[in-house]
Amino acid sequence: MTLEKIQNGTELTVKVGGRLDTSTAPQLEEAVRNLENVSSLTFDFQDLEYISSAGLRVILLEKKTMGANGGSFTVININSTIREIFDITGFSGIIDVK
Amino acid sequence: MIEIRLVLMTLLPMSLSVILRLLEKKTSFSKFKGKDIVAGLVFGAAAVFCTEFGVDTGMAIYNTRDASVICAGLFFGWRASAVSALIGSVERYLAPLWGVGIYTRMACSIATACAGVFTSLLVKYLFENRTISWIKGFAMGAFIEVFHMLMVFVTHLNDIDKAFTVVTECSALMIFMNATGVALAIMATDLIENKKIMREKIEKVSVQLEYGLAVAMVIGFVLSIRFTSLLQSKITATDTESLLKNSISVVENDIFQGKTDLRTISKFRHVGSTGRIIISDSNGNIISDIENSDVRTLEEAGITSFDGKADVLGITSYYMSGEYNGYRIVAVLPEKEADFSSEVSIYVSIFMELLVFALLFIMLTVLVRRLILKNVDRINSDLKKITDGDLTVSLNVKSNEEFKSISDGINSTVDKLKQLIDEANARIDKELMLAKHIQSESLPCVFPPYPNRTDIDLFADMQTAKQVGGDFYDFFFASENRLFFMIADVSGKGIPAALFMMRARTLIRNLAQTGADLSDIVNRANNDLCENNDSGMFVTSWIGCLDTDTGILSYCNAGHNPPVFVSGGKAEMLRSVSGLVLAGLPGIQYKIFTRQLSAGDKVYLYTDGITEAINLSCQMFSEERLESLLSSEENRVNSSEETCEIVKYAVKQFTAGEEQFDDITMLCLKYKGKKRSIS
Repeated sequence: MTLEKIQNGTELTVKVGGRLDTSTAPQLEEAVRNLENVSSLTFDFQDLEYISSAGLRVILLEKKTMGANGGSFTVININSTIREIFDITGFSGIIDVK
Repeated sequence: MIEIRLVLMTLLPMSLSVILRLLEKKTSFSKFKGKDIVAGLVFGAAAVFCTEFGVDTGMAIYNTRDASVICAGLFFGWRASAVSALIGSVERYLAPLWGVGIYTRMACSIATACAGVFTSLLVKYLFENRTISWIKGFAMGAFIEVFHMLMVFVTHLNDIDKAFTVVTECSALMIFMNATGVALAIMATDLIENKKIMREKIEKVSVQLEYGLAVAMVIGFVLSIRFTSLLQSKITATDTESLLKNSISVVENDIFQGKTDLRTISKFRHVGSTGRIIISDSNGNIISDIENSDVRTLEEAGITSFDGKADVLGITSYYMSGEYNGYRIVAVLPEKEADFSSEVSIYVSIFMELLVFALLFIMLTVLVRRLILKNVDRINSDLKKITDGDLTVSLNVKSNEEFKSISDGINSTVDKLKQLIDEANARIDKELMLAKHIQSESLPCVFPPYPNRTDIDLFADMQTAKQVGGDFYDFFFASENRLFFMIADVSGKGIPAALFMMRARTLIRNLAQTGADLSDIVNRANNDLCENNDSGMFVTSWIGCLDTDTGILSYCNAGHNPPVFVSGGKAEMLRSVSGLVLAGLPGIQYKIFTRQLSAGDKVYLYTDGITEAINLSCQMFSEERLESLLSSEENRVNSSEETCEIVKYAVKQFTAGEEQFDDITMLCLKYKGKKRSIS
């Protein structure tokens, strides 16, 4: 998995590539833990090939955390495979996907 | 003009270094294999230029030949230094043949050769091809020039007077020019290479050591020079006194013998080689003649007391008087002559001590680096590997007793650590095995589960992966005709997933037993699971409720893989999604779907362990494969167990022994029509 953080004012974009699974999801979770002064968090899944339930868990967690702090959480650039997983799991219904 | 030429001469090594460095940077010169030899030739040419066109001030010829040799070594390696030193040294030796100064031929030639050897050794063994700071460069230049000056003395031991004059005249400027030449060259090349000298907050031992040594040596140097000069001035005073006394007694003897014309005494009696004798009567009127002077009395000559130091006849001199037969005999020795030997020895000892201290400094630095720092570095790099997680690294620094014991100590610590980790892993593995066992035992696993019922045929199976997973299936009758059956997958793996799975399963089972309808069960289970779920776990689940009397199936899909519905030999994915995964967000109203089952229809539930099973070429088993497998003609009449078996078999064939990381869980329900009473 590859991780790249791009901070632009209070907007943070995290580019995630490769496989987001049980072994790599904790890295992503760590990377966005205790964010200060971030009002808008975006996960860019342009280069993401695979996501497992552990990855979905991080997304759900961030959705809740950002929501609780009055911020926004968006996922962008998802490919068709991941779109399908989002549809099956019902994530498409609650996560802002662009 | 001379000043400008001196400055240009000082800048020569720097200019060459910069030009060659730029060439190396901008052109393919850097890839050229013999570039150190070429650089050596260029700096050698510079050395020749220094010899032929040194700045002649009348007293000495100033040049930066030695600085050129040092720069060659510092920037292009020891070979460059050796080549340039050879050229410079040999050419300087031959140069008197065409009229270059012969006096310092040997000294210059030897010094240049030694500059080459010294630089080569330092570059190869002390700096190890790293660039050095300008301060060290300055010290190197100064060191070589001091050696050069000492060589002038050594090669002219028989003619120490002239050697001393040459050295006192040119040493300061020569040392300064060469030292500055090297220092400037280092600064300039650092500048074009954009090297920023950053000082680390914690200094390396080697740097601290160098500072410490340098301070100690400067103190030692100053103290010993101070001592030498004190001693020398005492000796000089004693020597001068005895020389003056001797001269007086010689003259007394002359007067005693009476055969001397006292007026011409200065013609045949000297003090030392430049001192003189003055004779006066008891009133101080000079009797002896003083050439080219109309001085008549001792007072006029500058001699105002019995002995001391004064300007006698215009020359600073020591003098002493003796009285004999009414004459006053004054012996006078110019200070310059009196102090000569002491000055020479002070100069020589300054130079010698500079060399000795510099050599000591170098030796100590090299020793500490070889014996201690290299080993410390090796241990550190090994330790870094170990802390990065490679416990197979074994330290092998055994060059001396102390480091051997450190290495052995670390090795045995790592061994012990490995052993402890293995033991801990074994314990955890055992507990995980136990957990896995408990988990699978807790699921209903006796088939057929309802042997007396003819209206349904149900089979389920779970193959756990190596890790404890979060898959589960469940089925139970909430009343005579209401069969609940479900499959679920908890996010993540391990004990947390297993515990969460048990919680979810118990919750749903208990809610179903209350007789609530499916939507109530799911909505409430979701809200309950959302409480105290800070870790953000969730369950994807598909729950079905079949009315065995009517064949009406109502179901809810909370984020789970679409089950396969098989009817009349045709398979179809039930893609309706009721809502988000369970435990995702509270307050979700899940949609319930229904479908009328006919006798022979099957519902096949599974987890992603099947569709995402991976074969050797990293392909997934996929929904399509599953769908076509279940729509085959043979499957039409299969029992639920047979249906599960063909999928298991197909997945096994597909993965061909590739280890799977996910649980493979499935449940198949076949509706056989309304219950008939057994007669």
